[in-house]
Amino acid sequence: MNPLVAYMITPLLVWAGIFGYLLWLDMRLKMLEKRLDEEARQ
Amino acid sequence: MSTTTKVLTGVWIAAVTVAAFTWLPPAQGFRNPESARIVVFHVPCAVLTFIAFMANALYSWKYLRSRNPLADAKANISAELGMLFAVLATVTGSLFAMEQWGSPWNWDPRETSIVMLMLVYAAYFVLRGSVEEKSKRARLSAAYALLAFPAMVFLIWIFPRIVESLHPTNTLFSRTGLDPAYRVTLWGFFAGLVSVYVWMFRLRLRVELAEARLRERRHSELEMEPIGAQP
Repeated sequence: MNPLVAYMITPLLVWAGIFGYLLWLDMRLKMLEKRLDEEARQ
Repeated sequence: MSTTTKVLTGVWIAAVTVAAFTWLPPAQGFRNPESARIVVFHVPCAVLTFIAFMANALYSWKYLRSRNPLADAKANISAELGMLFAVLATVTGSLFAMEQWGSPWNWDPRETSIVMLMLVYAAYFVLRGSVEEKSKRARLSAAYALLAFPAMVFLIWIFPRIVESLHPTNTLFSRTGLDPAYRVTLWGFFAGLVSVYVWMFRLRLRVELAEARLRERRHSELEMEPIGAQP
């Protein structure tokens, strides 16, 4: 692998890992809160 | 966590990333001096892995003392985050190994120990998934976490120091171990990751609490059903 690619890709991987996980958590929380609201209304 | 703190965390991490490419000089003594920048991102992930697994043991101990389900949930979340950072440390480490040592995997003591560590905590998740009853699951996984903790300390701190390793030792906390510019950038990135860790932890806890509320509501509805079904 091109050394330039190797060290450029490293922070991108860390960013993808942490912000991907945060995004997934946020989406899951919103979905759960929506479901809780719907069930409370019913 | 307030929106301002989240924005500041994002800006801080972005700034440190830019600094790693623009401000840091290539490090001499490396096969490819430019690749030394990878260390700035790899090492904080490894340090956070240790912190997260330590938090797992602390919350497990707290659970066994108080039998508070919240402590069990926090222990589980800490193990999850530890696993996430262990994967990130392994992937970024492989990229560094490829540049520095010519192969992404060399069965170096630190590489071996992180794989063993991930297996130890994978077993923790298997254990949690295999027990249905909540209090039994919490009790067993807390006991397992307390047994896993000394293994984790051995694998991270002792094993790589008693066997010959490609990784240097005592570089993080000694004055001569790292170039000052690298030290500032590395700990700067670590500070940003700590903030992200807190953000993730709180968000994951909210998910856990919302799931518990949903489960409780469904459970109470199921209990109500036979009464409602009577004519």
